[in-house]
Amino acid sequence: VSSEFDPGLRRHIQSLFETAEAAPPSYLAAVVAARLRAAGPRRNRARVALTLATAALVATVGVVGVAQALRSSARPPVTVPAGHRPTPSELSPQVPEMCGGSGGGTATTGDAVSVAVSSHPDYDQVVFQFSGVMPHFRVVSSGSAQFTSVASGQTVVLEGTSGIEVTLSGIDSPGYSGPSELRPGFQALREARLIGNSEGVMNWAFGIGGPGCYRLAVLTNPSRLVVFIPTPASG
Amino acid sequence: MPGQLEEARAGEPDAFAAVLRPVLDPAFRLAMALLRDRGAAEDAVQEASINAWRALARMRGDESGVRPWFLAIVVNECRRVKRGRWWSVVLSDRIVITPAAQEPERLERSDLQRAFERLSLEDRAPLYLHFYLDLTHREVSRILGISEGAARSRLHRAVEHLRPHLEESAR
Repeated sequence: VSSEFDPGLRRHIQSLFETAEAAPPSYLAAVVAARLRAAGPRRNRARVALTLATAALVATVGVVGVAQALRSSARPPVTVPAGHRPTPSELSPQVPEMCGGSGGGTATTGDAVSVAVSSHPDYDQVVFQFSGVMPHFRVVSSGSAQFTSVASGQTVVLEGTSGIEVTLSGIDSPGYSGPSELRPGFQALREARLIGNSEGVMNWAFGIGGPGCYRLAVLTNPSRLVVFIPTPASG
Repeated sequence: MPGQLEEARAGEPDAFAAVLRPVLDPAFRLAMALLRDRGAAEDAVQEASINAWRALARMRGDESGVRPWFLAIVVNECRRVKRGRWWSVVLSDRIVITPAAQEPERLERSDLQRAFERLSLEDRAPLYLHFYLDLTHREVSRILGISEGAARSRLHRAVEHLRPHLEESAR
């Protein structure tokens, strides 16, 4: 291979791809496995129908999507002073409501997490709090409250008509000793359940009464990820 | 890993995750080489995994064909991210919070690294595939979806761009 290039040159080029920052995070395989499970079994025969449905959906939401994309692309990072507890309306329009997927955080090893839920006049919220830095997170809406347990592969059906899944990667998850199931029965947040907790990856599933849209805020001192879920009447 | 590809083809996502596991490292390094951003590279590999899962029925051959097939999907996903189509923003919107205290230590960049980063995505990809993964020009061309001549040409162009800095580092 590449006989026209001398070994010294080859070695120098190889070194470009051997830096520490080029190496994948340790949790990547676990996150990929979790996403594949969440994607569920392949449905080849439904491929054409799915493509058509997707095209119709894209056409329907296209105008809204373009407008949101233009707004989102210029959005600056959200910074909130320590000790301040923002509401979704304070964060908007910096943090637009989303019904798809989002992610962020830092790809690093953080510390244990605590989870709290609460209800407010126009929204319910879930707060993940970390004693270290914010881990990498990913939030995805789904059209049903049905999920797949990462550990068992079994289907998990939560209370609600839609769902949201939060994946926290690169955390010291064995240090988590809080509840694995919360049934607050709020108007929007019907149920929250820990459906995966291994290899530094925690998967939380929410059963939502409503469309499953949300807003996110990342707060510091301490590090918190807040998922705001509008109540059906306000959303 | 006997039978896992067949299990994956039968619709078993865990088997497919096991099939992909050995190729995630080269896939991530490829995405990093192309996108130069860890978060974007991670997302690209994840999205490529889902795309591969949906396209598995079209994959021909045995386990030995998984790596080039998956790397081609990763390249396409990276191209899509680079193009920045609007729906990627809608479906994969991201809030990036990196206070100074959380930023990874910024590494000193050599002239060679800076020259490498100035290359286009289309020139960085063959460098990685050919020099790091030791793939032939033919294999590189298949992964990138270009002719063998074009792969050879891009390699030469990229190496010529880097050569002054390579010679400098060698001194």
